[in-house]
Amino acid sequence: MSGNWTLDNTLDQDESDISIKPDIPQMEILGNPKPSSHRNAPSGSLETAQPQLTNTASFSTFTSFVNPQSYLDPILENNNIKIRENQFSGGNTLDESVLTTLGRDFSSIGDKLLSILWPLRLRQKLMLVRRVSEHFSSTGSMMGHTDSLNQDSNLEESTTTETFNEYSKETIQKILDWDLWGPLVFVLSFSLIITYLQSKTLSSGGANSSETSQIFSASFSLIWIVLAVLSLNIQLVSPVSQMTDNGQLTSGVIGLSFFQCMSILSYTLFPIVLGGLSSIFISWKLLRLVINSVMFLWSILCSWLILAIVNNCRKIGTASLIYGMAGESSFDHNDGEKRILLMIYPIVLVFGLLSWLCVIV
Amino acid sequence: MADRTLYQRLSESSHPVALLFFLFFRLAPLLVYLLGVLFTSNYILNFIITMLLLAADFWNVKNISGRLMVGLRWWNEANDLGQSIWVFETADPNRYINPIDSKVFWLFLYSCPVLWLVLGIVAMLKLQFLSLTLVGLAIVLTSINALAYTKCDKFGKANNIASNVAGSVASGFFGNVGGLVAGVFRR
Repeated sequence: MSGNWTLDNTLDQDESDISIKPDIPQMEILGNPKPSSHRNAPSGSLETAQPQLTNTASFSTFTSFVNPQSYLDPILENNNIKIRENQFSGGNTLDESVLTTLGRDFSSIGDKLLSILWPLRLRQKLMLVRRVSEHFSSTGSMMGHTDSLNQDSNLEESTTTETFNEYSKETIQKILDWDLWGPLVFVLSFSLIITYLQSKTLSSGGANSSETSQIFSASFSLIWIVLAVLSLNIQLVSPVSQMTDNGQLTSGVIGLSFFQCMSILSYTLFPIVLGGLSSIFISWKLLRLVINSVMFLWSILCSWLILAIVNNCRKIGTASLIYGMAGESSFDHNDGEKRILLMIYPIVLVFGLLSWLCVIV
Repeated sequence: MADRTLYQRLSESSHPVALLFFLFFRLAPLLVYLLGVLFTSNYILNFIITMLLLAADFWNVKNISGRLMVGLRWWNEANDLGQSIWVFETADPNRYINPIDSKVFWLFLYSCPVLWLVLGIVAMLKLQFLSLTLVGLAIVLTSINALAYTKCDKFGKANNIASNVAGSVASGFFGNVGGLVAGVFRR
């Protein structure tokens, strides 16, 4: 398994407009004898390399990911091309400075934070997802496969698809791509804030250092446990994949995994962290209350929107639109809408408690 | 005497700072786990500090030490279908890899999971289940790094042989990674 991956060319077309940089492109396809005609000159940039490859792309399947045609119509292409990477560093990430690495990691956290916490854009995305899914359920509810959906060239459909793809594919991808570094940062900073606030309160009654460390450790572990329980709840409540009449499974496509839930929840915790940070400096209790409740509403709104988006993606056709999965679509029971409240309610309780801890000092 | 030769040896390293940080982050969680009780009576605080050090060690080995000391790097990303993809990056075969750096790196890369495994067995025999979770986390994190670097090393060597024989091979988007790695890199 080492080094063999299946690559989707929907992923590829995102990258192919970034990778204008001239470099030494090297790749080897498994099970495909290397034709010498595909060898690029080492100094050739992508612009020069691309037409050369397009000529050969019509009869060989594996060059389809550099084919401009695949950029236009990703769903028609067959997915799951096995690619084995073979790469020398042409003076890239292996030689960068430590600061660059740090900066990139933090900026990726910030990037994801922005895409998760901006409610207006999220709302726009939700609307788009709804519109597309309604469109599909009205026109193509009888069709089992997206292949056939795409082959009839409906103009309106294709424009909807394009706007949809343009808006949300990248961001939904970003949301679903979990990491635990962001959560670590947020939970750590929030428990430090709570420790500071509460120990300041206690020190008027005489608190010593052991109590401070106790507060810190208690809040740190409490937040982690709570996040774990909340994401377990989301997993348990969210609709499971069921066998349909034609023997396919519903909505097994975008089911949030445990770590995805953890990641999303802790990113939505960020406004509350901000509220806690602000209540360090504000001594007026009423103002603190107002700020914290605003932050609380913000984070609840964001998590609601994200859950709504993810659950709406379970509708017909949308999943295959986002993911370019041909032949995986099936009808949906649309349980997601009803269960969002069940997912949100515990989140409201816990986040409310956390922001209340910041108000009472 | 032995100390001095050790110092001399270590000073031959081409990345002494990276080497020191590598050693520090590898050994610090072990030391805190074993000796932390002497300094503070708060067990949970100990637990948290060890966990944070483990996370820092993971990040450091994955992102800094590997590429500076042995010229290897790996990362893992999810594609659209939710499958995880391993991406390995190896240095130019002509690049000089300092033998001291590489020896220390591989020694500690493999010995740390073993040490944690021993500590895990001890914790299991002493029925300390809370520390067992911590040791479990440590084993997972350190052995992920060990495994990934093993794969990466094998992969790089195989590639070097292959490319010496066959020359450069046809292109794809992962091949011309240059500036793209920055966009793709996630963790």
